[in-house]
Amino acid sequence: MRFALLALLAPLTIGALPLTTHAQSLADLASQASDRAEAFTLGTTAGGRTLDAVAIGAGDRDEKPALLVLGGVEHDDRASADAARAFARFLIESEADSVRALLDRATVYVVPALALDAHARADGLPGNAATDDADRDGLTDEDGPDDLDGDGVLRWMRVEHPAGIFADPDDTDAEPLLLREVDDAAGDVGRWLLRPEGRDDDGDGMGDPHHINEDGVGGTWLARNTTYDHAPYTDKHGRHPMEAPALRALADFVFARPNIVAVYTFSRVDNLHYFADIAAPKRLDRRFAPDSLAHEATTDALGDLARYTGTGEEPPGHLPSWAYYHLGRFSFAAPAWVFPPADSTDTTDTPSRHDLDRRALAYLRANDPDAVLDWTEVEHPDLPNRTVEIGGPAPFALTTPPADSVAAVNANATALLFALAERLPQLEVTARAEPLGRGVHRVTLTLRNGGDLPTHAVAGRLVQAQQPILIETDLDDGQTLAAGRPKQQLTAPIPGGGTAEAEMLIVGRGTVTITVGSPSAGTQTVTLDLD
Amino acid sequence: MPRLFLPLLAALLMILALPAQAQRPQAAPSAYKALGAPNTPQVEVAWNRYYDHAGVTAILQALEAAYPDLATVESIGQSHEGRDLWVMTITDPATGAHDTKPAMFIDAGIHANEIQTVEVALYTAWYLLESHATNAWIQDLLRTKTFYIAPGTSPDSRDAFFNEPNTANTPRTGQVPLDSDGDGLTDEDPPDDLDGDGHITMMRREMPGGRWKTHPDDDRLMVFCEIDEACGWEVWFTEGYDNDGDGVLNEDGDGYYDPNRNWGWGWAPNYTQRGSHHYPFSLPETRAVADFIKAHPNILGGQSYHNTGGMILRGPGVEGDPTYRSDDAVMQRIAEVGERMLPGYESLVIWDDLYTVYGGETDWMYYHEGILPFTNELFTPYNLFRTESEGGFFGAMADFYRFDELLLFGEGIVPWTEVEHPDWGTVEVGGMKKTFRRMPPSFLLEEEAHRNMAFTLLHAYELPVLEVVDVETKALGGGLTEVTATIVNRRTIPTRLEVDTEHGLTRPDWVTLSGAEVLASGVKRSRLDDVFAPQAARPERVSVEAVPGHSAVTVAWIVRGSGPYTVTVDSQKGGRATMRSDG
Repeated sequence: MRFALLALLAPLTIGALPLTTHAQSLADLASQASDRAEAFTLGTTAGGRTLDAVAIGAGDRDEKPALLVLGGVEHDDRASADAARAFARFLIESEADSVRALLDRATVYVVPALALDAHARADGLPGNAATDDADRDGLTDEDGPDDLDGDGVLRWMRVEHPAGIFADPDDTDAEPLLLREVDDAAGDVGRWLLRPEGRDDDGDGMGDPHHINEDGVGGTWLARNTTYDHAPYTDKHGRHPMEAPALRALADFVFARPNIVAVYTFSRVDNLHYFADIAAPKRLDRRFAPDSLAHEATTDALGDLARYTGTGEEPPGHLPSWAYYHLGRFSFAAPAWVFPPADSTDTTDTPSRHDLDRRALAYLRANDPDAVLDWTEVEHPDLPNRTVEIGGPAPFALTTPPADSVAAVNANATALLFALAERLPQLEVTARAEPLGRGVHRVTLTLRNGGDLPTHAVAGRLVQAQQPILIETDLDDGQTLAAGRPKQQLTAPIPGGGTAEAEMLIVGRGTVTITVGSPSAGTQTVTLDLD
Repeated sequence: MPRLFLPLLAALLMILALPAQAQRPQAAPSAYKALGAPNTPQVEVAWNRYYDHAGVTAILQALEAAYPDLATVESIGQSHEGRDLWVMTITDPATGAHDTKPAMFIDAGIHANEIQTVEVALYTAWYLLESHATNAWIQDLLRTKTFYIAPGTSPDSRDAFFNEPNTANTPRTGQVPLDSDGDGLTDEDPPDDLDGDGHITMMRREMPGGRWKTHPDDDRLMVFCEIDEACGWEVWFTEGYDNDGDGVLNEDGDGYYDPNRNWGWGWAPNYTQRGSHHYPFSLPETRAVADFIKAHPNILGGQSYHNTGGMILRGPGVEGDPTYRSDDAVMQRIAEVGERMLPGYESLVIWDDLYTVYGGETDWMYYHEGILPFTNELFTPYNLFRTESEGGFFGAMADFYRFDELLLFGEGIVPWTEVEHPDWGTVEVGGMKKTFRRMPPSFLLEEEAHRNMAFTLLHAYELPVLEVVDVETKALGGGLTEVTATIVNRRTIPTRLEVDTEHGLTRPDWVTLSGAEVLASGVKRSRLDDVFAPQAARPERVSVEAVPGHSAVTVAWIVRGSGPYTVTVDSQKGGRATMRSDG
């Protein structure tokens, strides 16, 4: 009875309720202020779900420096969609001068949830709605998880087995739900196999636990399917990168918008706090050095604003490094929320995934014990002679903030994202004409980046996605350029707070109009009367 | 439809499609057949000239109309500019549907400027269909195999090559516009045809300090001067002016991206692999071809035609990517025979002998789809004088100029001509035509088509032919019988490549017994072995990893009841076969 009750309560209290806070659709939000925001559809998922998005800013949104915010990219992260929506709502509804000023000069795109197919399922497991024949038996998705103990929640199942690759925790104080991976080299002996809770639905196991739940619903794992460091031949990672339609829609959107300067991803991967861990090896390539400096300055500035700390271990095919190395935009990532350490003695600086799981379980046990089931033995119909135990947190419980924290979580996200948006580049142009006699003028342009991020990322040019600043000079009739070109590019980005100069010699009197800018820097026009 | 009507229909289609050709008086048919090409084909195609997309379409449709029993044409998608991407399926349906037989996938013209690749693929379709009635070897091939032929996977740029000024090297890209120079405009500064002859050649002008001179034997040819020499000519390799006024010449023409760097294995961004575009299959043409291949898991052989240089290329495209010994041995063997069939061609490994290719088509075919692919680089400078040419894969310029003089009578080279350059005043324009250097002249085209076709037919021939032999029974007592069957692969290529079995790219081959209740089953280590490892589930359907080339696999079932039994092998890539036991 207790399990049945828990089944009803767990998803509701931990999962669904907080999300209703900002469940108001983006279209409704945007319609409140059509001069400030426009809802749009990024694309559709493999399961045909619509990827809602909103563009926020005044005027021509695709022509101004922009920040793109991505929520819900991980299969078990329904919660950050709410933080992303909260930020959108703040920008749309705030009357503060600073918000108005930002939206006058910049654009913010928000895609609150990308992994919609996975979020819609109850199992909390990765993979979109594409079908596949994972076990190559000619059937698709025929052996997925089942609610073996009838508690309405799909958890984990451990099976005592000679081929086990997990052992019990080392010491008795450790979190009992977390099994220790066996180190073969150290002569370690495994005891348990870990499988999602379920039966051998397609009857191909003959008592081999590996054949249980080996072909469930869940196709391509979005957050393992980008081109960055993609791991081929790995379960659910996609046979090739970019199989997930949501990722393709995202890439097409970004490539079509050279004005996007930075991407922020709510993610377990955290490059705000672990920038050095993630970026260090790649910084050996000198071409990326200017970008690295800008990344580092940003993470230094924002790290303290991000209250929640993720991990510096980036799995293959994830989004944060992809957004930088393959989409060519400055890319920042941190979780919207994680369980805080259960006690103040836990001061590990760089927690591993295992450390994070341990902290999370400890917190869950302290704050929402009903969401956790300790290993509980069951009679498994397909494994009659084996010890089988079911346990673990309810799906999404580890990644969803308690209801009373949601407001604080969203406020933190909004403060962080607003601070990031304010760092977008801001081009200021001044022009000076110096007469050299006989109708010849030396014209000097000074370009200043009043923002913090560079006017484009070096990587953005390398992947042909962004444009350097272009200076176009429109002369009056009878004027000629003695030095300089009617079009000239400033190939190097102007760093935050930095300046660049361009010079030309103009022969002849009249009005010169000079347009300076790029989609990612913004565009300014200056006019000079030469006489 | 009455058979006699077909030639008429085909001729009619050709008339509709190719009016210029059809209006000319027809010469009398040849009195005596040369070996090789059919003497009186139902669809007349001249194999000493090149066809644009409309021409390709007309030939395919005429072939389909003439051979409706053997061939179908379908559009597998549209190019960026809306041209159909055609695939012709050819097999003898009397022995099974196309998707039940091992298939050979042939595509051409992914690099649109590599023009003759399309004629080679078309010739293959034409030859198979036109020879089928009379050639027993072709009949046998089409009984056991399927051909999927995609003659032109970048049709926008193929038409651009013919209709717009180009060099022999352009357009390698497709026609999706791209802002190559980052000025916000796309394709705004292409080369320009200053002399209006349809060819982008070179420009030269006399200039103090110029580092070029004319060749001592042929003053049409410019050569770089020696380090201790004063020469006096400046040379630009592409004709044109600075259309967008940014001070850089011809820096943003068609594209640029490389459709053969846009595939799903080992894709790398533009700074590692130039032209890879945004992500694997971000282009409509590569996506359509990949989707077609994914939807036809019976494809086991692949050929992607390119030029130039006379190569039979196999992967990997990148150093360090895994190679599988048994697969490589089969590829080496087929390529070795190919070197004999294609004089002047060499069997080479892409990364090691040519250059590194990230995200190439044939690597994707192999690593993700379990297809055994070759890339043939057509046209070899060896064919100029049937001797080795200096100058690497492309051959020495001097040899081409001499060939032009002796065999083309000057048709391949545009003589230097003065033109007014918008930026620089008078310059001279001249050099090789776009149709020279990579494309064979008329008299070498048909030979190139036939020899390369023959190589792909060998490749297709070596795809598996499965046979169930020796269905035997042995009474075990207690009403139980052991039934054994041996499956033989009569060809060189295994039913599943090693890369496939290693990574489970496709399902195993299935050998199914029907006609009795099966209690247990499994694969025997050898035919003489009397034990087998029992299979866990579905005992009637035994999973076999693969049937290797010229080898056999023996399967055993323990059954209750008596025969006759039917044993069927169903291999996704290796085809099907059935045998019924006597009793």
